[in-house]
Amino acid sequence: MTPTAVAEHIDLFRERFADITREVACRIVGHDEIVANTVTSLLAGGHVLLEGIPGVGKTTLVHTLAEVLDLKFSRIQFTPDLMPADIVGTQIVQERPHGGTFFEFQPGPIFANVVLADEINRATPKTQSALLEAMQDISVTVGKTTYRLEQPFLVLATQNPIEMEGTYPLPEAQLDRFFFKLRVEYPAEASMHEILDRTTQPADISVRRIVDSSQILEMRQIARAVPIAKPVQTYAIRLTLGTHADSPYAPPLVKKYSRYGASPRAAQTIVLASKIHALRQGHAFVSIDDVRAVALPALRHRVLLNFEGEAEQVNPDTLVNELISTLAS
Amino acid sequence: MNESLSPAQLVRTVVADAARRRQSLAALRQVARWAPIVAAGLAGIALVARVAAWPGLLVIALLVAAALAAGGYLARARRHQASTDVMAAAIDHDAGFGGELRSAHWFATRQAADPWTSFHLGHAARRVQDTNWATVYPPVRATRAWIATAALTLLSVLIPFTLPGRAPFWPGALSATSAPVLSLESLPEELRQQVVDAVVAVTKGEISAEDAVATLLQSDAFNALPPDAQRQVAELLQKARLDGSSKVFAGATGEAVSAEAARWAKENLDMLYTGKDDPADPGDKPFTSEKQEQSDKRNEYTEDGASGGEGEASDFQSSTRVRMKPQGNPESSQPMPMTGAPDASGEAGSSFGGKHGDVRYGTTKASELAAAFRQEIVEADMNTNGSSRESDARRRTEQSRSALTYTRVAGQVSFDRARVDAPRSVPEARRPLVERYFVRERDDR
Repeated sequence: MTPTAVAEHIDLFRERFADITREVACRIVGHDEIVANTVTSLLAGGHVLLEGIPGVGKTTLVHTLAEVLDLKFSRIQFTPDLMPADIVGTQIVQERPHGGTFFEFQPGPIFANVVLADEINRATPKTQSALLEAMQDISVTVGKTTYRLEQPFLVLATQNPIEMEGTYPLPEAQLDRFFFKLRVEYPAEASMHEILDRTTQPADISVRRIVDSSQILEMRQIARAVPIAKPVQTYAIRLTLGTHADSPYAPPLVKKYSRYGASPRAAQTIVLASKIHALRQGHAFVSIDDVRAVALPALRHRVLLNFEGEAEQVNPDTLVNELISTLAS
Repeated sequence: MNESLSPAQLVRTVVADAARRRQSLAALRQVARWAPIVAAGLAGIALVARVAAWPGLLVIALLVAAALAAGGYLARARRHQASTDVMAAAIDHDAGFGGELRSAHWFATRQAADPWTSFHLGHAARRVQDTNWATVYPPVRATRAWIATAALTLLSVLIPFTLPGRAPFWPGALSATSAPVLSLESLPEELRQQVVDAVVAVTKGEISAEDAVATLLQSDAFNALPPDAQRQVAELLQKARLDGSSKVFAGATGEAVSAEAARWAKENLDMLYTGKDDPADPGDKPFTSEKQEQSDKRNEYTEDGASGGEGEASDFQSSTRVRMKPQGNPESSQPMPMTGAPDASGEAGSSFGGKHGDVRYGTTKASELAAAFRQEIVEADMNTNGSSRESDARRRTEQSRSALTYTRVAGQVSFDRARVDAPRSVPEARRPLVERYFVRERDDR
């Protein structure tokens, strides 16, 4: 590859990324950053946990994204009686034409490119854990057989932060498997006007396909090729370490309210997301600003509060923002 | 772009140059900030130096030191240093490279064959070359600071030379002119000859130094001298006695003795005043040490002034007791204790046997009194007539009452068996009791 080819790759990545977000924005109003971070997660091979109140467009966002990316989409509505087999699939008995029976695997909704796990915290931990292998290894095991999932594979889970009765909060191990945790905020008044204009008219807004799965995989390769200098990587590592209360990089708030900090997977997340963020800017390098831009969604769900933090209802975002603002580059 | 340099080299070079420029500008900014303050301080010191009569050279030395410090600081900031990531980050921030220069600098210090890295370095090299570094690091414009510094510096230099009543420029000149020194040439011709004759006589051992002083005290010209000058002559005579003919006459004989003694006196008068050791014989002890060696030789009686009752003696006479040498019938002279008796002369407690000049008895200043006491102690030390228990005890008693600082340690008292009284004899009536007490019978049981 020549430097000219590198420049072409950067331009290609940048244009495709901009096209995707622009097309999604045709239907999703006021959530540009959410859309960009969701696409970033997809291109990094990660999964996204969307947290927001009902009716703010979480499910619509996932639907639109699947359409724009021309990917196979499935939706799983998590309920307390949902069973793991309802997600990964099950063996069913089939009759042979000439007599006899055999077991045939019936794939579950997990066998898709974009899986919407709606209200994931309403299912039991046993069912939630059925997603673990799929999210981490991009494969599911039924009986003695392991089935590979088709790439790209993206799990978009949603949860409602206010209606917590009868829910099962996600365990730390499962939370750590989400690349980003994105908070979908209530739209502003101007955005509300736009939403109403688009959704209350006879004509439905259609979106066009921008990229397919092979182009997404190509973008993933481009993203991973971006070089990162050691000082910048050091900063990403220190950000991760700074979420631990006993770390020398931890600010006072973290020392006071953090029970456990982010795992090394968080550092991987930050570096990968930084590379994609740099490419979005048309850069062939990763800067400290790129790291800072992606640190909050990468770290907020990986910081576990201690008793004091829970009692005082401290927002983990506050701790992460404090860390970002105080850690010297 | 310098075609001979690769992008990596160019990035490293630019970062190093920019770092040096940045540091030197920062140093210059610091100097421009502190220079007026330092110059003002120096001007203040120059003013204080005028008031306190400090040497003018002090301000000049401080100016030179400040200039050297500023120059060293600037030179240190301008020196070539290996570029670091911290430098690159700072330059990146200043030039608004958005992290590209810092990242490129890090890759430039490594061997990178990756096309992405090459692209990154090439892009960064083009950007740093297109950057106008004079805009990024503009020259320091601190005109007011420089003007203020120059004005204050000029003021600091001018103050020591222009203000009236300035102190002597050289520290040596200050000490040389601050107090008069008695020189042999300044003495009247008659007195000069008397001093030289006294030196010759003392050196030859014809008379003692005290007698020579007593003889000089009979001269009006000597009495007209200030007390310090009189004391200086007395010490000169003591030194002549201690140095002996080998030093004073330097081997001269006959008529040349007087000339040699005059030369010796001339040299040693200055030396006595400044407290220097004999330049011709650096191995000798200072004269004051010689005097202390005579501490065990004390005189029991001193003449209380020349004529205490008459009140004609000089201040020097009253403050420097001269040992009274018995002449003719020893009983004819009235021995007087060293401490001035209330009825001897002056007022009680003054311990002055006479009066002289403007010294008033009973109203004498404390400093003069202290000087008189100190001189008395010195003269007592110089006495060579031996000591007695009574005189030692009396002196110690005086010293213990005195508020003056007593620096000399009294000589060690040696035990003289001959002066020990025999113990009282035991009465005969008690002898058996004593024997029984000290001589125990042997118990054979």
